[in-house]
Amino acid sequence: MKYVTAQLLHDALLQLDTYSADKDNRIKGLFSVFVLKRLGVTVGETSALSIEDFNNVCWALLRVIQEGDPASLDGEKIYNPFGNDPIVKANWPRSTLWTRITTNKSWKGIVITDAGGF
Amino acid sequence: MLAVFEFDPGYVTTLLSRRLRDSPLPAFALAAYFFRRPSDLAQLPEIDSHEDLISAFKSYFHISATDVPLFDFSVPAWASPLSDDELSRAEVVRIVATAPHAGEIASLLAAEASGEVGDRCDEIVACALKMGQVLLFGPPGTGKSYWAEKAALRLTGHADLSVAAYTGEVAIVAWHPSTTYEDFVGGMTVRKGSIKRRSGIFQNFCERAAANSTRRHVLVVDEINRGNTVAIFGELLFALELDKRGKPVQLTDGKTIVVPSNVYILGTANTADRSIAALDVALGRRFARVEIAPEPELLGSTRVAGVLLQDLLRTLNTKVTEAVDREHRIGHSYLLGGDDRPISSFDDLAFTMKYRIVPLLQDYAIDDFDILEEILGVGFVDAGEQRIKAEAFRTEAALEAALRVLIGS
Repeated sequence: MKYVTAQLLHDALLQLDTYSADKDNRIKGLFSVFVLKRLGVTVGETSALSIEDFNNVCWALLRVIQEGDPASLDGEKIYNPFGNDPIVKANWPRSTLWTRITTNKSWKGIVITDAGGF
Repeated sequence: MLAVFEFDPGYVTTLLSRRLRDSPLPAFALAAYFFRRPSDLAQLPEIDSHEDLISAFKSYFHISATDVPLFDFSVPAWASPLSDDELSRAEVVRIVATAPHAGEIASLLAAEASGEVGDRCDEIVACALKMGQVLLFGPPGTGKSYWAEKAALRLTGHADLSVAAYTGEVAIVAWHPSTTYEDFVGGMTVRKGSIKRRSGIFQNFCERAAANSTRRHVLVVDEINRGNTVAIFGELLFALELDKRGKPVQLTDGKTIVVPSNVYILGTANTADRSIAALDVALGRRFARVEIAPEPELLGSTRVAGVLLQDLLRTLNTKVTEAVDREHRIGHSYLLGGDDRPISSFDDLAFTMKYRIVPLLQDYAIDDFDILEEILGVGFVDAGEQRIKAEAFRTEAALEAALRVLIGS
């Protein structure tokens, strides 16, 4: 098994920032597509997902400060590689990808959902 | 609770035209970011090359043939070799902190990197988040104010106190016996010959915090037990509890005050000055209490005049505890220099003993030379003649001899 180096990670983050720079603000929500893809959402077939599903994938992919690290005490810090400022709110996956999903019009043409969330 | 999702049949076209501006996503960079620490992920396939990173990306995110137009799967020229070692979490955090848009993480890490955020700071921050108010108490010279400031920076995400103060998110006040309710909360005051109402420090602070509710605001009250705490807080005592935050509290002069949920109070109390046991019970139960005790181990292995400074501080504090009480122990900072390193010269130790520690102990002993001799030993004190031996500080040999008597070696 080989691993990403510090240099490679640094260069990748710069590349993603450069990529996002000339896109409009909605590029920040693109991460949601990767969460849904990871959770097996596809075309022509519905997937029933829980809040926990969203949380698990978000933490695994975005969290940079882990539970137990000193800096995690005032909230898990996650980093959106598409240009969001780091998000401190621990319930971000729930609020952004779940509760608001049916009211988020920018999903139109991308994701079909029933009246999910609460 | 479950919700049902599926991708719109036209989602690739929509994403490309509306979100990606027809510029495919850099799959390699995404894979390098998402797979930065494989041990944090489940079911990630074996990776041995750059190409494997891209393959892992395709399988991990179930990339289908339909999805292909969304991505650029090439290995970029900047791709440096992979390593045999996995990045540690700390390394990942450090690298992300230097990335664009990483302001808050960066400031957190700056504080951590300085080595000033340790378990103590974590403990204070955790208490503040749980109760809203924390009282740091301990003998003089233990770093109560230092830790209060560090915790305030941690809570607000700033790395620099002057910046935090400039933004208004951290304010430091010191209480004294003349501090009043009118100073802190507000009240009637005489100005230019007429009586007018003036908002106090805390009311102004709360209004500032309410206007910027997404940021934490921390008020550090130094020497909180030197003021008449119950009188100064007044009806605010009720409003400090976290479940009462955000609710208007009627003040005696008819005005109302609201303590927002993003306001935190860190108080410091010198136990040698006045025991915190004297604090009002109603006030005390609204503050989490963190004891900041002397830490002799911070003096390391520094030896001056033949004596290990750690041993000197431990012995002094054991004797002070026996002869006076534990609330009058001596803090480690008495034996630290201006650079926060242990003092290292005879001159500095002689100065500290003669002009700082001995006078402090004289105050504690209320000039009872029998008690002083019990604490400092016959090398420093002549109880019969009721005097401190000035000759003990004149030469390194004399100081060493007196110190050896003190620590019993």
